[in-house]
Amino acid sequence: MSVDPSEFYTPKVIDAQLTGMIKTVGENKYSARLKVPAGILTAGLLESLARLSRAYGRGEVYLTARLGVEIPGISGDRFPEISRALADAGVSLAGCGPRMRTTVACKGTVCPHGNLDTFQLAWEIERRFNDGAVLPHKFKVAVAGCASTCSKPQLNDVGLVGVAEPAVRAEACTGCSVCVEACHLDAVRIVDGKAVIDRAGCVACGDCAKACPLAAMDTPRTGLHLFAGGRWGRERQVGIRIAEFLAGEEALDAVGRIKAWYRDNGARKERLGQTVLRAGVGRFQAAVLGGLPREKWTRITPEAEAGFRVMR
Amino acid sequence: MSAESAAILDITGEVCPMTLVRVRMALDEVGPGGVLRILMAAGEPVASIPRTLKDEGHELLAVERRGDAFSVTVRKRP
Repeated sequence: MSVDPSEFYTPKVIDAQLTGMIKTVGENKYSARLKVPAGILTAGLLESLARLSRAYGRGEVYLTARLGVEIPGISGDRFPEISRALADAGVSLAGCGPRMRTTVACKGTVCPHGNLDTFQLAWEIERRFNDGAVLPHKFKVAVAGCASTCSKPQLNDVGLVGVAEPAVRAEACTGCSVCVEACHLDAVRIVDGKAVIDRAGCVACGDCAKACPLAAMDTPRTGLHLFAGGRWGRERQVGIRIAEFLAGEEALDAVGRIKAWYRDNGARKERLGQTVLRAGVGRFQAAVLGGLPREKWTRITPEAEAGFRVMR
Repeated sequence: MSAESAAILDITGEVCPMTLVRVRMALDEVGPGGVLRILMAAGEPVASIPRTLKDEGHELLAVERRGDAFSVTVRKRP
């Protein structure tokens, strides 16, 4: 099947059909990168992938490092055809180039450690913000359900982490010390027969409260910690926490504001972390958290700021 | 069956996933409402197994530290 180039290479069609088509080396072929938010594939989609990879590729799919799927071995002249077939299967091509990439999430929705419906939040981020618009450079968002941060939110441009801060109901505590065993950071001790939490050592993973056999622990403060400016690669930068215990809507608002700020302030080929370093963490925080109650702004300590640096 | 006459299961020598598998097999042996006392190591087993039992609707009667291990007494759901 041949393509009329004048029809194909117009900006509109390029956006619709070429974004997500990755040239593969050693052959005149492309790999179709598909959008798989939070890494969830339905049985129907898996059947479609099997069918499409046989029809347009070589009967293989690749799993990407960000939970995505690519169908390799596609000829350039079949782009319009496979684009239509993908749309019929209910899947769209994912971002490549200087754009927002598909949002990654851990399995926090179903994981025993999860404090958050990570699938739902990742889908909502995709729905609201992943519009394919051109940005200064790539822009990655990751969602994690707990402080274990399996999806590496601190190494994405924006990271959200579900947190649940524990509190002991002393009258119900028998001092059995299961919570002490559940804590990974030795932040729970038994004092005079009751559990006591060391606030400075606690990262609000909530595992102690989940393990308590007697419901003698609650998690009165829950929400999302927000990290920004992380990236990984030739240069590395660990994202800095700028806000904490956000409600879902507050977190979604912040993601939108950060993306807009990056679009307006980022230099070409510069990741968010570099833009934030140029502008200053304080100015960035003020620009993207405006309207949010001050107690939800993370106090940026000199140590935190010193740790937010480019590593090679 | 009272807690005193409970069946006893020692999984202090097991690691995940056999800790939970042994508990499930032992719970299959006691009838509904029956009582099982489980000896388990500190750390991961005691952080996850009592919670799993509670989530599945069994009743935790007692959780006690015994040196480096824990004794967890559970009544199987009726």
